[in-house]
Amino acid sequence: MTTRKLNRILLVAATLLLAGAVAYAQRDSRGLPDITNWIQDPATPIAQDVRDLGVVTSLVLAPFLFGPLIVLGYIVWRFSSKRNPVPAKFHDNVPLEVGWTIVPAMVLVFTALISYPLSTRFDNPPQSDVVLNVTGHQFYFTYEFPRYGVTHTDDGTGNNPLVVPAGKYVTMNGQASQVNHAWWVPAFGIKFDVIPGRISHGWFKVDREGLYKGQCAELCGTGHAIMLIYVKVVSDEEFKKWILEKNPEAVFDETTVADASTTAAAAQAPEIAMEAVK
Amino acid sequence: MSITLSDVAKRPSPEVYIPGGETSPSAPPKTGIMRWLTTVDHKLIGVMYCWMALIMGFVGGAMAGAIRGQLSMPFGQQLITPEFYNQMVSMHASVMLFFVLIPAFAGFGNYFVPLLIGARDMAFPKMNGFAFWMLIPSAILMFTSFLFGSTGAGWTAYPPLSGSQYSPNIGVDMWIFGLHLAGISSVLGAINFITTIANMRAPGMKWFQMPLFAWAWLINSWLILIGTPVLAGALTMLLTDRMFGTGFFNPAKGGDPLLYQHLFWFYSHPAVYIMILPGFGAISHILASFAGKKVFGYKGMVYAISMIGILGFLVWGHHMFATMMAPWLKKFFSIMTMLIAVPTGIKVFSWLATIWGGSIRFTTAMKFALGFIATFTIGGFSGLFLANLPFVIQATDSYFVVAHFHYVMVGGSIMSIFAMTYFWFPKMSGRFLSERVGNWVFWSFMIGLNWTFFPMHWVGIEGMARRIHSYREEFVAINQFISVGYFFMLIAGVLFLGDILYTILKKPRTAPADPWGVNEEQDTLDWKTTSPPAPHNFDRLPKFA
Repeated sequence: MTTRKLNRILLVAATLLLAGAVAYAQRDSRGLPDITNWIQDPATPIAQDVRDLGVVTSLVLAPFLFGPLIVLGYIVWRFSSKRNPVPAKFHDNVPLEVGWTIVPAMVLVFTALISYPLSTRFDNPPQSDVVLNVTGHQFYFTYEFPRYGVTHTDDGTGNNPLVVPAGKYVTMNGQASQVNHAWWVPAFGIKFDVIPGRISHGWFKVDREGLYKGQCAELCGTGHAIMLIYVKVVSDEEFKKWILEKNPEAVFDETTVADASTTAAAAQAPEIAMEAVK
Repeated sequence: MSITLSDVAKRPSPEVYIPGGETSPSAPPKTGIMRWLTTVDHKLIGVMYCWMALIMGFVGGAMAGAIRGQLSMPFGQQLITPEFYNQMVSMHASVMLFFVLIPAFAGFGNYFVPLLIGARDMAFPKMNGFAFWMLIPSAILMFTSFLFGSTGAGWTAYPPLSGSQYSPNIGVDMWIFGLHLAGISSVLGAINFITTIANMRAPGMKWFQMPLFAWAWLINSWLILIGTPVLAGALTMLLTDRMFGTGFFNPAKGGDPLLYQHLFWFYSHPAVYIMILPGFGAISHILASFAGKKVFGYKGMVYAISMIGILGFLVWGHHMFATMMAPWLKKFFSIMTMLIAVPTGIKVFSWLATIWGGSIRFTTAMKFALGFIATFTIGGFSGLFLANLPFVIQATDSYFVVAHFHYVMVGGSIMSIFAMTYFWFPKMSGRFLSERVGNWVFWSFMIGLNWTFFPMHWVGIEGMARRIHSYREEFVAINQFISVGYFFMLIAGVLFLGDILYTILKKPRTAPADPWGVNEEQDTLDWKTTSPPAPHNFDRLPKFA
């Protein structure tokens, strides 16, 4: 077999294998209902928008991936020494070079700019219905609902998921007791590092009830892999029932902090804020 | 531009040179192992750097094997303990970055920068040797740290996890000292390169007559010189926190763990460019050589490398988007990261224009260079998504990032190192590596790297976090699939090493001064001396007119 033929076979084999890998990944994510895939199963408006923005950005930028690859393929086919025995002589073209500097710069700045509004929304919850404090420990997360006087520990087994109400704006304050962690539930489109001595913020509103999975996303030691997060999104009534089970004296005053900035949400958790000041 | 070789300093050259064999009027040339241990010749030092990178590549590869082995275990089963897994994750990165990529580029840089600018040696030959030998205690410290539990805090070593409370073992201190020594080695090398390039160019060689590989090394050296001391500072602060109870990164004492992340990434983002810029330079040489053309847009390439160097210092925050950075700062880092793709794009487009209209000879070096364009473009493209603020919040610390930087570091840096090796091996050793074996090395490596790293994009999007020892059941199948790709890269590595050993031990030195027959078009100085070059590099002094 000639080298040339062999190379063609290998190229085809490599392409098929890649396609297989992609199909494999797709199959995986489709098989299970409560998968964490944040592109295919966004559960919050933010996650949905992240996905949509990702698609738009991909389409805008796609020429910069496929353009060079197609041109490369064409060059390899067209300009082999066999097909093109005499090389061309040119070695610069100023208008072309200026063009491929300015056009990508404009496109890239454009894709950055269209991502800014979403980033701003990401940082600023529109309102706060439920305040939730999360603390990362080695190797589990504990939660606190300061308004209801309820604390909860998610041991990462899936038996004690955090319970939050559907359709409500949940604003989160995060801190860490020992080392850095990150709270990540992919389907919510939310991830924030929790760092000792600092308070992090996040928020989400999930409309679809169900069990959502996440996990710690910052190396935190030997138990990093088992630091799993389970969030059960239930109806408001069920949530209240769960809270009352934990603390029969909890009062639901139904006040909503309108236009809650993350600082306002933090003010709902004075004890954490104090810790940061210390 | 035309280079003439003046007839001053004409010396008779022996038929066959021992490469770099030192001669001096007073002492007989050293032979055997002493020649290597005592040399200050830039070529011998360069070769030693390359050997170190090659050997360490297998060490780092074995560590990757341990990682992939654990990740392909059926759900709930354990091949290695989480402690050992974290050590493997930390050391795989440390070894690959500090003992493979940086030494490999330093090796080719040491060997070819003086040749390309027509210098007799580096500006400070003894310091050059010192810089290499610093890597040995550095490696010894890092590897013996395994006896004391090594470091499980990742190569990033974020405190408080890397602090004395959560990583009390002395292995972390040894790792830090090892990194310090590697850093000193890098800085000494950088000073040497800058001085050499600034002062020792052949008479008449202007800045813009310098080949791109030398340009890349010049910019690279500045990045090392500016960045590495910051890393050294951060590591020293970490060390005093650990050993003397200072509180730079300890919130209980008024410190801030986030400060470390800023300092660390201020070095470690430019470090990413440190680990690829020389490859950029060499790829330009290789593409132009085997397309039979001159490099397209030479000046644009120089400006692009310089812009990458400058912007490289303004994007470190994109590693920390999930750390509650101020919104305006996030936006600044996002747009800077987008903009750094512009000079990178210029490079890719110029490479394509370089080979456009060429008459391409598909040597192994050229195959690796062409493969580099493809895989590096994919790696750069996924980087754009890591600059997209809402997207990156999801992608950061997931396998998407692992896929991205392996496409850049393996699909970019390692591919360029393979290309450089095949391209310059005949010059360095006087012997040709086997093109037949090279074909297998290329395809095996190309398939292996895409097989392994491409599906990782999906794994990240699926929601699998980085640096985890075990994972949810739904990720098992795809991870086992990914691990198969490892073997293709392993086969490529073994074939590559085997061919190098066979070539050195068995083949005669047959390479002419211009082994690829490219210099009529390229007109660079590396092809104007014997293969391998004499200790004094050039029998006649090159002169630019």
